[in-house]
Amino acid sequence: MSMHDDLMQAFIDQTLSVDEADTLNRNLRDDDEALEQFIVLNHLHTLLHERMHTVQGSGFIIQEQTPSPMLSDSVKPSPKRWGSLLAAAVLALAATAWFFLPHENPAPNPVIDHQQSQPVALLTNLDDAVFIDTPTPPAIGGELPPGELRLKSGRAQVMFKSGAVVDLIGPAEFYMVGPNHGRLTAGVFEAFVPEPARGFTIDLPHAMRIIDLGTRFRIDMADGADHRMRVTEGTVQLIWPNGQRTLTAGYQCVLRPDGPGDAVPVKILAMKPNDTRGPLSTTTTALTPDSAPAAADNDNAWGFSAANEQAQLGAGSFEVDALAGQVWVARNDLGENPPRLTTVIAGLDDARRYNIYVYYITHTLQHWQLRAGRTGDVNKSLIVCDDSGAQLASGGNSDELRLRRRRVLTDAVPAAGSISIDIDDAGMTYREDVRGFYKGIGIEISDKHADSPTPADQTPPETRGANS
Amino acid sequence: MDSQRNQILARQWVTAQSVIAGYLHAQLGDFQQVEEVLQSTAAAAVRKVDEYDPERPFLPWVMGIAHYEVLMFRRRLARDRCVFDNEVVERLTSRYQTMAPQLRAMEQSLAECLDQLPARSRQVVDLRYREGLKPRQIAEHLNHSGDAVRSLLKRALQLLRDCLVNRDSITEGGAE
Repeated sequence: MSMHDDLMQAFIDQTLSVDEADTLNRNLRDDDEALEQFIVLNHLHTLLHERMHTVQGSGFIIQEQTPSPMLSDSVKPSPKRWGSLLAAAVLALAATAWFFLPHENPAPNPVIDHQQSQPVALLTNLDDAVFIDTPTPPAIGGELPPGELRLKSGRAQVMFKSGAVVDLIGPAEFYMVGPNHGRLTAGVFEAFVPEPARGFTIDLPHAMRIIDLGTRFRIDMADGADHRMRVTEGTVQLIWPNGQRTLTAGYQCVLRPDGPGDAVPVKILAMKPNDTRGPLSTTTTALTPDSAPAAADNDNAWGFSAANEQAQLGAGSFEVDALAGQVWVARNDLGENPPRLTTVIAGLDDARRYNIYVYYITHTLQHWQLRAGRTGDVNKSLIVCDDSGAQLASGGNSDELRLRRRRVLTDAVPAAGSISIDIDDAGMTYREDVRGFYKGIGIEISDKHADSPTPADQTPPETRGANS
Repeated sequence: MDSQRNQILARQWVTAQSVIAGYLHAQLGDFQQVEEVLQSTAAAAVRKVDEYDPERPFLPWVMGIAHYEVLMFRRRLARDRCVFDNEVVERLTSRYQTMAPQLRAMEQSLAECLDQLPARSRQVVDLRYREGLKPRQIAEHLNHSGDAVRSLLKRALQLLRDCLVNRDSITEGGAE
């Protein structure tokens, strides 16, 4: 064990002397490796504290726990009710505390346990929400005990104690069973389940149950349509009386009374920038002639890379496989400012509406990004496609590359069977860590009926948020 | 408050919070203080949410807020004793941002690596972190010397670190 290890351990144990603190400070100032070692050890210490420390000495704690049989009363930390932490009833403070809740596995049955009177969730957002049979509608930031939320219309967002975030789209009926457990009986439901909330459980009619393994998924149980679910990221487990199945990102299934139907790919058709393999086609051109692969990459033209980046991103999912091939590259880091590209999607049905996505590659340590939007739509700025897009694959020599997808149009109506999308680089002529990598277009038939009112063409972004 | 920004903020925070907590602990060294500053950071982030550009990376933005909240916290406590000087704090701030993907990956593998710990190592880790005991209290509980417990803990953290960073499997024989 080196001297630096001893100093780091003393920092963690809060036993550093003044001289030792000076030495550690010097190490971290002068030695990059020592700095990294310190950050890793400190982060490990923080994670262990956050994950394991479920009784309240530090104040991170929120939920009571069966005392350890190993300890005598004299050394047990004293419990502190988590409600006192939320006394300010400020959304931010409440949300912060909630993120530190311990994470329970789901109860075997959807029964309300002894914590029935305690809140299990927090109302984090409302959007034109109208509740049914609720004399006093809940307010944003308010705590929610186990019980039913009946939403006539609009949207309501609930954050469970576990950190799982649920969006309900009315009309919907949803029952909050426990701190990481709910039951949906009607409506549309979207869940974002961060890793700490793994095990988030949703019960459905016909004794069907969904256990989330850290992901994002959606359940549609709207009247007059097939009930179905789809997984956007990660994996969920489906359990019903006669069996069980896992469903992974990119797949969906119909939910029937006798169990789920077959898993089928979510219907986002991934197409390369120039793709004529099916009834739909894409054609990509630059506003100025820019069609030949660039020999040098600092010529203000899009270059093409067929190997390196996308070859390292692996294969396996239907979307990733469909995009295998060239990637269009803008080298802003070499001072390029390549022209805007236009990808025309042809073969669409004018009677339908479509959600349009852009596929691109990002880098975990650099700012690789694109901008995209509907051609000629001068009233809307291009959508930035960066780390916030949904991750489909990762790779690279140091696992630094991410293949991502971001929705850039919603409920778009074709004109004469086509929709045209503009793609541009980051829009700057030089920055050392900026590049653009364009992989293709995703096309999805919208849930909206063809005769729905005016299209939005807006972009509720398909964001994951952080780098994965 | 813009509802979409609020939603983005909540989700971004969920994925970033452990990195922010670690960053605060590197400066404060005390989890009670970390919690306090973390909460004030979240409150400030909500207040400033209109200044956040969702098209920019979230972590640098919120770490800037966290850094300021640390300064304010120290001022409130009239606590000028700081383990690290400004240069080191700047280096920590910068390096935490670039190491964020690695730190998040550690978070995802922690349970698996904990399960691989030898029983004795796991016991002291449980006592230290689940029960919140100091090494001296663990020594009393196990009837060991304080040095022996510190050595066990150090070794257990090293095994976990190697497992998380290098993806090394923990083997019973090599542990203790």
